[in-house]
Amino acid sequence: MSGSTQIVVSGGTVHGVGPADVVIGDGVVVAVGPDLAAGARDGAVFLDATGCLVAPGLIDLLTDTGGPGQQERETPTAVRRAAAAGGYTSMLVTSTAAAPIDSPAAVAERRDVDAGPLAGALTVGHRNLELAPMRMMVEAGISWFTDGGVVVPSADLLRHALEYGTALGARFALRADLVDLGAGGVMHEGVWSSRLGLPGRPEAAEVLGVQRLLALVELTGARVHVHTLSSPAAVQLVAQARRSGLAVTADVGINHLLFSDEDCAGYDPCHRFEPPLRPAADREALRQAVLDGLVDAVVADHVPCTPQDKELPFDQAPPGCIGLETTLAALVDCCGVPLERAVDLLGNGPARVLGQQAHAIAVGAPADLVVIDPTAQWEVPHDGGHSRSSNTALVGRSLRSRVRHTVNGGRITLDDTTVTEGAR
Amino acid sequence: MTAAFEPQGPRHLLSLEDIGPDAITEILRLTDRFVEVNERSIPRVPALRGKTIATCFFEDSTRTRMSFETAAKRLSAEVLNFSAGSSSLSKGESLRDTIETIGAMGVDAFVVRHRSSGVPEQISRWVGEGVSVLNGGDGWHSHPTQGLLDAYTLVEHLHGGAGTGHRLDGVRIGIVGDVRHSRVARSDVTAFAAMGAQVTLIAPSTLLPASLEGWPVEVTHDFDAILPDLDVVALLRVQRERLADGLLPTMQDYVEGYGLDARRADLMGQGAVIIHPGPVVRGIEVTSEVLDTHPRVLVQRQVANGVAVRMAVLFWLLGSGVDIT
Repeated sequence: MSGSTQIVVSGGTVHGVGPADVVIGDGVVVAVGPDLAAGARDGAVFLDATGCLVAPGLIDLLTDTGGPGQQERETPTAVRRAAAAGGYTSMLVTSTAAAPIDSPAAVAERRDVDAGPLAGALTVGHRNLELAPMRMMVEAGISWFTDGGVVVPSADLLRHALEYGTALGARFALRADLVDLGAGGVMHEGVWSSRLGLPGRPEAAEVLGVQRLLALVELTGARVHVHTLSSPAAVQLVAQARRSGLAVTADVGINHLLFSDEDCAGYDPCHRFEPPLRPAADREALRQAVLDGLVDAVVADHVPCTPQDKELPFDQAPPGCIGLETTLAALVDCCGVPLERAVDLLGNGPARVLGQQAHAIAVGAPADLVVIDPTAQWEVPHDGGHSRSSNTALVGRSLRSRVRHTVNGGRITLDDTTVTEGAR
Repeated sequence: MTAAFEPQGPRHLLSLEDIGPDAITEILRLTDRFVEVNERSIPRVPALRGKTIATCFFEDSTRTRMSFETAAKRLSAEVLNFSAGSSSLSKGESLRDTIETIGAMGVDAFVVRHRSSGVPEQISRWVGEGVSVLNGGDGWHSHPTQGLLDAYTLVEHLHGGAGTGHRLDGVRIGIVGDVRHSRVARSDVTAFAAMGAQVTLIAPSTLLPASLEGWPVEVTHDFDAILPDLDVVALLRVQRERLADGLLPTMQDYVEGYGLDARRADLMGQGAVIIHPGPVVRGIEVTSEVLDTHPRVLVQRQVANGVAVRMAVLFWLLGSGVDIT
């Protein structure tokens, strides 16, 4: 779609505005207001938003896009298509042990193919032995560093990483479980791990890990975002630290809002997560914490895995599930989060974490937006959707509320629930 | 043997919790009849003629595998053997491919043992319609035929058999040892409780599961104090790895607290019995002296009944519409 073609999103309710049409041209919003459709230019493309919410595009803070050598799990094209179908217009692409972004060369390679800012590796290969060349990576264009889901065991090494990176102006997206309490645990330690005969990791590991991290934030002055808190107690710790002035933000993964440890009872590796699924009471408390605004964002925590990986025994299978296409609907339909709140948690919240000031549909703003039909009922397809992988326990689940259109940088990437060429 | 057996309920035997107390009782009653078959001069019946049973042992096992094979052969079934060590698994073939390949040979049931909890249940989702999966022991989770044979051995010892509604009501059973890592303990608890017994777990806290919520058990750390009250001492294996895991200070410290030696054997009540699933680590959970000289060690009956119980289980799952004869 050429930049000069006008797009008119008509008949919807614009988030934060009310009933209004939105006119897009040259990649930005050029008008927001009632009855703009009549004044559209010749050749304008119309997107019907009747009965829909029109919201700023969704942003995911924790997306594993596969990377070099990982084509069996995910490809840049597939992940962009999945993102379009799920209403996402940007992602913080996370470095992983399987495909680490741990050198200026890796940054350059990934920057050109991945659909969003990159979070580089704190340590070489995520092996947690030596720091990655952070200065050169920052010069290559990185502003975030991550542990890639492999928590740095050494407090000294983590401290030095935070100090070194902070001096470069970088920020950090980190997981917080302590790794040496319940090491080898593959699910939450409790009633269900005991019955199922699976090694458990206690919730205390996450509480201790968050305490350690917060102490290091205080020590180093680093700006840290904590990924996928699963323990309500850990969420409270972060909220408390923030009230006391610490520069820390946090998210919760959709899976921890959807499932509980009891769901591991069928030994389906699609229910294996890091951190592990918690008891149902914790899940309820986590939902409440999200509704109460104690976390900044909800993340899809998109982790594609091959069928072979998810057919391993539960205790050997890699953790994680895909989620870009289902997160919005699951949050609204299964977790009791009103749609208007959901688009905040999936759009404005992550934008604030990333330091983007105004993530709103307003004249002059980038034309990243999503049109959501709150009444549409759809079934999660058996191939998992557009991702290269299909590992999600939601396969076959009927969900209410669906992304109808996605516009990314002025290009239509999803048109009436069909992914377009623009998403490639 | 009169009317043909008509099974009800599940297609698989994945755990005893899964099949429930009624099925446990039914299998134990069936076991009586196979104990009788095994006492014949030719211990073989045609009940499962034409059926094919694949034993898939992804973890080493001698006795359980031989017991299942013997059971299948005495029911006139064909037996296919699969061992992980000598197989294509070591060449990188996936679990699912292995099962589907064996299944394509025409198999009515898989007996699965695996070191990871839950593998039999995962496999049950991959087998064809009408194919049964029997758990031959998975990780720390479940060993249903061991639970059944332990319960049967106790009912047989007390009542001569299970057939006329005999149970374990009021029988006090102490399960001693590494409960946390024991699939036998989990299945024993379910089987014993289903038959009405009172079960107490006797172990240091580091060898107990993190949570016992919902388990029909009492717990004590004082073996000496409870010994005189027990009708059954059910010993579990304690492996040396637990030292490296930091769960026990020394083996001697464990033995001091929980080893069954001659002094403790003297504390046992009149008529109290000892069972052990084997293999026994002599000098740890029990001394050679007690194992070899105590008058009521039922280990050999457990092994013998293992074959009959496995015949009963195979028949219960596959014997639809046929007589035992």
